[in-house]
Parts: sequence; C-alpha cells; structure tokens
Amino acid sequence: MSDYRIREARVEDCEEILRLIQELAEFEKMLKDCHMTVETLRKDGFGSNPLFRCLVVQSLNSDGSESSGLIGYCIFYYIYSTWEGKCIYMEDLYVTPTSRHKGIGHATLKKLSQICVEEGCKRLQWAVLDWNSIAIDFYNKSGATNLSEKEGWIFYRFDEDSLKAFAKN
Amino acid sequence: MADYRIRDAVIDDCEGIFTNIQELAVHHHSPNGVKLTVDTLKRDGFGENPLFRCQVAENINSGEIIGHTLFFPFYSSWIGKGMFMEDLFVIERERNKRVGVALLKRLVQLCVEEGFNRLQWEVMEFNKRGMNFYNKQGAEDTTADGGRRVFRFSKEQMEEYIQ
Repeated sequence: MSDYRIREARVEDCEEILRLIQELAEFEKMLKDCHMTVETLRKDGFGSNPLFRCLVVQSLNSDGSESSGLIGYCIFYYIYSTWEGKCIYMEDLYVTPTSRHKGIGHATLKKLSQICVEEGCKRLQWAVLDWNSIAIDFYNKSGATNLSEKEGWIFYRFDEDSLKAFAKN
Repeated sequence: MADYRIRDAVIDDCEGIFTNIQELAVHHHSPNGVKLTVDTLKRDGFGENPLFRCQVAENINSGEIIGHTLFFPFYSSWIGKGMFMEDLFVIERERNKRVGVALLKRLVQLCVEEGFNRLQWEVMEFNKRGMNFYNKQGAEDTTADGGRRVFRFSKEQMEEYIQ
C-alpha cells in the first residue's frame, strides 16, 4: 500500500503549497524573486475563475489517513498554440528532498499526462534550469523532448504521441 | 487619421485571423505547421470556456483583418498572474504604419487595467525584424533558448509604455 496520495489541491492546502513553492525557489537560488502569498494563491487558484490548477502529494499514515503537511506539488495551466490548439504548461513540479526516490515525481508527471490526454491537450510543456542535472536526467528518462538549450532555462515538451505513451506506461 | 482601428475580436473575425495565422507560420518556415481549423479557433476562442483572447487591427474601409494579437493568461508561482502573447502579426503590405505598435499598446493597456504583473512572449532568433521592433519598444530580452528569445514587459515597464 502506497504511503502517499496524489490529488487535486483544495483551498486549505495553500499554506503548504506556498511553503513548498518557497522551498523550490530556494533550491533554484531565486528565493528573493518569489513574491507569492497565501492570499494570492487562494484568490488566483480557488476563486470563480481559477488561473491555475494544482496537484498535491499528500503523505499517508499507516492506516491510510492523510497526515498533515504536503510532500510535493505540481502547478499547471492551459496555454494555446495557434498551430495545435489546447496545451498544458507545467509551471512547477516539486517533491520535498526527504521524500525522493520513491517514484513520486514520476507518478505526479504521469497523473498530469493522463489529465492532458483526457482533456484532449496536444502538448505538455515545461522548463528546467540548465544546471539542474537531476531534473534533466529525470525528464530525459521520461521520454520528453529537450527542445533546446542555450543558457538558463531549458524547455521540455511531450507532444501528443509521447503524452499518450507516458500516460499509459 | 489612421485607416485602421484596433478592437476586440468577434467570432466572425476567425476566417481573417486564421488566414493570418497561416501566413505567420510561413514566416516561421513552417507552412504545414498549422493543424488548427477555423472551426477550432471559433470553438476555442469564442465558446463557453475560451482558451485565448484576441484583438484585431481592422482596415476601416475594407473591413479586412490586417493584424492581430492572440494572448492568454499564464501563472508564475513567484509573481502570480501574467499574460502570454502567443501571436503579434501584421500582414506584409500593411507594415510600417505603426499597426504593430498600436496592437501591442492596446494589449499592454488591457494588461495594466486587468492587473497583470507581466506580459511575456517569444521571438525566434532568426526573426531580426521582430527582435528589433521589440527592442525599440523597450521590452526586455530575458533568455535565449536555442533559437527562441523570451521577451518581457514588467508591470512598471507596461505602465511606462502606455504613457
């Protein structure tokens, strides 16, 4: 039995999501550029016109109940390609360091890929910092295409076929 | 007095916008890149849950759609809501009349009015004309990604631009 669950975020998760956003920003050495607040997350993600969606990773107690605190999250939203139509952009994918190497990142990316396929999205796209070799290896192993690299951000993409393959796998 | 005006797109503009999207694809050396149809554009932009917004430059006399911007909100977990400009295009024979500036200014105004913290877009590196245009408008070229350059107006730059 798994000791974690991936689910859609609820408005009550916002404090924990912000904590993890700040953890990720610190890891990316850009904490000073992170101006997000719990109020903004609540208003923007859980109001009448949500600007993003979020999956969270909840750790479970041995009896299957949810323990407090989140161990990972994924923020994403629709984007539009005038060549292909509806796509999804993955803004953040993060698993807290003490919960790594359990396949949680893979499971979360797979869940998001399934959402993409179910909703008829043509692409799933995201960016990675070029020095983040752990993430780069992870994404390379997933079968996504590294679109290009020059400096700073590297853009990744699953096209329609690789989305279906990854979602099914 | 300009012989064009900028306005929000309506569903009947989709044929004109689609023609321009195809011309833009040719400019990007991908004449077969466009997999959309006019009907997809109508459904995705003017249905119940629009996936994008669009403003057009319309020739006052002929009603021809001579340019457009196509844009949608994005979200940064650091700064919150931003606007992504997917397309800015003016047809070749209507260039050098500041139609592009007028389209960009109108979109920036919208972003400021609606409280967006950033306007962002991409330009292919070979598109020197596009890059010169954006540099002239005071936008910041933030990163280069193997042929794609990411341009940006911050909130302060947007407020200044529409003065």
